[in-house]
Amino acid sequence: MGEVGRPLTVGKVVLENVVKKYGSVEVVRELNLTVRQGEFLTLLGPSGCGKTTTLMMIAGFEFPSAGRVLIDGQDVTGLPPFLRNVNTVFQNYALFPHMKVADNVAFGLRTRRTARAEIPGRVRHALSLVQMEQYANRWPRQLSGGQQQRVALARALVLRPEVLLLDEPLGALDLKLRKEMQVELKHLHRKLGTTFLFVTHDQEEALTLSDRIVVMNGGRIEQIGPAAEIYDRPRTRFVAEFIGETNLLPARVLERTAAGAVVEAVGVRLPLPVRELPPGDQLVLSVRPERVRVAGAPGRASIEARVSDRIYVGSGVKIIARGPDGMTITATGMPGTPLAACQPGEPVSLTFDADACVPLPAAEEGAA
Amino acid sequence: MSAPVHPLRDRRPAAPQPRTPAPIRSMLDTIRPRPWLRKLLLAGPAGLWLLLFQGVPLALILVTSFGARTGSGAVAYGFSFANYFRFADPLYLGILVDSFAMALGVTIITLVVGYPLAYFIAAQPPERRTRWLFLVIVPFWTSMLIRTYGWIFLLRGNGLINTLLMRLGVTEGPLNLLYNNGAAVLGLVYMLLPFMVLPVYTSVEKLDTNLIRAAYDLGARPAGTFRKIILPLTMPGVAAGSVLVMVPAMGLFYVADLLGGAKTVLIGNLIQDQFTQANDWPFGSAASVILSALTLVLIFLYVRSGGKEEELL
Amino acid sequence: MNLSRTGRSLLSAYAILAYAFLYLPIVILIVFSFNTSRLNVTWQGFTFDWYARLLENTKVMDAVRNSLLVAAVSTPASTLLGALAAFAVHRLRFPGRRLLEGGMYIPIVLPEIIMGISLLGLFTAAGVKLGLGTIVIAHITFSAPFVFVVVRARLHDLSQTLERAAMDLGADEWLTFWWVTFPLVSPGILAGALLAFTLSLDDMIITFFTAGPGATTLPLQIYGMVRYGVTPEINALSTGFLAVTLVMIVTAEWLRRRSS
Repeated sequence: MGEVGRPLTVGKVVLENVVKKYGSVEVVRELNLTVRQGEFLTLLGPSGCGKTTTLMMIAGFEFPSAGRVLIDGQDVTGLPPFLRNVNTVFQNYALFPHMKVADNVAFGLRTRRTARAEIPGRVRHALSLVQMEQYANRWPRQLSGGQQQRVALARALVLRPEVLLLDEPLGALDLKLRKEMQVELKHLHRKLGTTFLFVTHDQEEALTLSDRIVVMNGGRIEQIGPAAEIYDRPRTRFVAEFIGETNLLPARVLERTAAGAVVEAVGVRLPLPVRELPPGDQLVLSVRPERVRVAGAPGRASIEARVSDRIYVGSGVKIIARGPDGMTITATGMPGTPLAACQPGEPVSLTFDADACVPLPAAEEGAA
Repeated sequence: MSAPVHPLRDRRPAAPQPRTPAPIRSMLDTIRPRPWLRKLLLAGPAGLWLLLFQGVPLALILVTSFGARTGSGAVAYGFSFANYFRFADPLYLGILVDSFAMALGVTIITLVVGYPLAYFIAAQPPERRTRWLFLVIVPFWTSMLIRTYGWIFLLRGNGLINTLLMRLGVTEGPLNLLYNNGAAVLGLVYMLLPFMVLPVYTSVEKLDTNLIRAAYDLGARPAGTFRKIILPLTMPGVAAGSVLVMVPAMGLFYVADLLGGAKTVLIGNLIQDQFTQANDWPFGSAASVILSALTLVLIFLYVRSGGKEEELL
Repeated sequence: MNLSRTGRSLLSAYAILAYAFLYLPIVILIVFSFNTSRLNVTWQGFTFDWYARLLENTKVMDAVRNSLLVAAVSTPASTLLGALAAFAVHRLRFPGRRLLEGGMYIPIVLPEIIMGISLLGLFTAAGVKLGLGTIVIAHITFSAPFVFVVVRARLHDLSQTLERAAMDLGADEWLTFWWVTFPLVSPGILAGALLAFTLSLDDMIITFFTAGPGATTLPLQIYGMVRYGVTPEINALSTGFLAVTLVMIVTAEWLRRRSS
C-alpha cells in the first residue's frame, strides 16, 4: 500500500476498485493492487482467474467496466495502448513476420519519430541485452521459439518502458529452455531496474522469479506477498493447494491458553500461537509433505498410518500413506532418510512440528 | 482506497504521440470514442451498395412478379398470383420439369465423370497434387462463352469431329451432334465439371487412409470398401459438388441456347426470353422467383444435411 | 491409396482422358486460329491473318476497349467495397452484421441471370439509360462478394495479436493499419482484385442485361458473332482472350503461393 508523502513508495501501477465484466460475467471483481517501483511482481492463478485480463487492462487492450488504472500517479484508464508508457511481451511473441529482426525491434522507435541516427544504436543495444545481436538481419520465421522470445523482449525493452508486462511469455518453451530464460529474465530485471509485471499459471515459475506474488482466483486476489510468505504462510485454502503440494488436515481446538491454543489433528496434539488462529472450534491445518517425517516412536504426537504408494521423484521419495479414518497423508523425504526407506504395505508412524502447520479457516467464504 | 497523489507526478512526460499526421490523428480521436461511427464508416459503404443494387432490385423482381403486362409491354403493378399460376400450364410446367431434370442429369453425369478424376488427384503424392488441381482450375477460369464456342466448332455439321469421322470412313454423312439436348447436356457437363471435382477432391483428400487399411484388414474387398466406407465418408464433397452443379445448370441459358438450339428451352432461356423478345417482365419475374426459390431450397437442404458454406467456395 | 496396380493404371488412363476432354475445345480453338483455311476444319497453312483482321475490325476493337474500361473502373471499386465489408464483418459487431454477410454471399449463390434481370429492372424503373455506366455498376455488384470472400479468408489467418503488438509499441490505428495490417493482408486484396478484374472481363450474362446499345463488351461481341456463325476470327479472338485470362490466373496463383 502506498503511503502519502513518501515519494519512493508511491505505487508505480495502481489498480483502484477495478472491475471487468463481459456481459454479465464478472471476470475481475473489485481489484485493488499497487505495484511497487522496480519490483518483479507476478500474477499467478489458474486459467480464467482474471490475471491476463488484469494485465490487458494495464496495457490498454481492455478497459475496466469500473474503477481506475493509474500509472505513475496518472489516470490512464481510458487511454489507448499507444499512449501509455508500458510495453508488453506476448505469449506467442507476436513478431511481425514481414519485418526482419532489426526492423521489429526498431518498430516502436519509428512510431514515435525517434531520430533516424539514433535508431541503429538503440536497436543494437537492445539486442545485446538479450544476446541476439548477430540475428539482426534474420527473419522471424528463421528463429526458434526461444530466440523469437528474446527478440520480443528486446523490442519491448528498447523503448525503456516504465513497466514491462509479460503475458505467460515462457509458456511455449520446453522445460530446459524455460528455466534458462527464467534466469535470464531475472538478470535483466536486476540490471535494468524496470518494473516487471509477469503473468503465469506455473507456480514454480512464480516462486523462482518474483519479488512478490499475487495469487488470483475467480477474479479476486487471494493473497499478495513475497514468495516465501506465499509458500510457508498461505492464508487461504486455495493458496495452500495451488502452490506446491500440501496436506490439509481437519483439526479442532482443544483448549485456548494465553499463549495460544492446543489443537488436535489426526490424533496429533499441537500448541499453536493464537495470533494466527481463525475463530471457531474447527479449522484446517496445512502441512507441506516435506515437513512430514517418520516419528521416533509411536506416541501422542504421531499418526499411525500404512504406506499405500511409494513414488520415486529423482530428488527424493514421495510416500502416500493412509491414516486413521482413511485420511491420506503425503510425505516427501530425501534419499537416506527413514521416509525414503518405507515400502508399500508397511505401517509407519508419521509426525510433524507445530511450526510446520499453517492454520486455515475450516470453510472458506464463497467456497464453491 | 484512493491512490496517493504524488506531488511530482508530472515529472515524466506521457508517452510521445505516434507520428501520424495531425489531421488524421484528430480524425481518429473523434472516431475512437464513438464505436458506432467506426462501424458505420466500415460497414456503411458496402451495406449501402448492397441495399441499393441488390436488395432493391431483388425486391423489385418480387413485386413485379405479382404484376401484369400491359398492352404496350410495360409493367402494371398489382397483386395477383396469375403469373405463378401460369406455371401450372403443361407448357411451362414442362419447362420447369425439364430444367430440373436436365440439371439433375447433368449433376449425375458430372458426378460419375468427376469422382474418379477427383480420386486420381487425391491419390497423387502431395507435392504433385496442386499441379493436377491447377490443371482442372485453368479451364474453369477461362470464359465459358469461348469454351462453348469451341464445342460448336467441334460438333458442327462440318466441324472437326464430323470431318474426322467421315475422313476415317466411320460415318457416311455428318452426324447431328449439335443443336439438340445431348449437346446441351455435354456442354453443361463440360463447364460444370470442375465444380464437382474440387469439392469431391477435398473430401477424398481428407479421408483417413487408416480407415481403408482397417477395412482391408478386416477382410473387405475393394468394391465393398468403396461402397461402405469411401463413398459415405466422401458424401459431404459429393453433396457440395452436386449443389454447385445443379444451381448453375438451371441458370446457364446461353450454353443451352448455343449448343441446344431453339429446341432446348430451359427455365433460364424462358427468363431471358421474357426480358427480351417476349417483353413480359412480370412473367419473367415470376420465373426468376421460382428459380431463386429452387436455388435457395437446394442450398438449404445442403446446409441442413451438415454441409458448410465455406466449402462451397 | 488403396488400389492395385491395374487399378492405378486404369485410373491414370481415365484421368488422362478426362484432362484431354477438359482441354480439347480450348486447344482446338487455339490451333485453328492459325489455320489459313476459312472453312477451318482442314489444316491448310499457318497464318496470322485472322489476328490481323481482328485488329482492323473496329467493332471488335471497340468491344475490347469497352471491356478493359469497364474492368479498369469496376475493379478498384469492387475491391474497395469487398475489402471494407470483409474488415467490417470480421472485426466488428453491429446490428445487421449477419445480414451484410449473407447479402455478400447472394451474388455468388444466385444464378447470374437473376442478378442480371434484377438490375435491368432497377435501371428501367429508375429511368436510367443503359450504357457503360450501368455495366460498371453491375460488375461492381457481382465482383465485390468475391473480393469479400478472398480478403476474409486472409483476415482469418491474420492474428489480432500482431495488431495489438503494434499498438503496444506506439502505433495508433493509422500506423498499425499501414505498417502491419495492410502489408499482411495485401496479397489477399491483390488476389481479390485480380479475381474481380477477370470476372469483369469474362462476364456475359449480367452484362447482357445491363448493356445498352453501343456499349458492347468483348463477351457480348463474341456472343453476337457466334450466333451468326463460325469464323476463324472468332478463334483468333478467343485465343487472345484465353491468353490474357491465363496470364491473370497464373499471376494470381503465383501471388497466392508467394504470400502463404
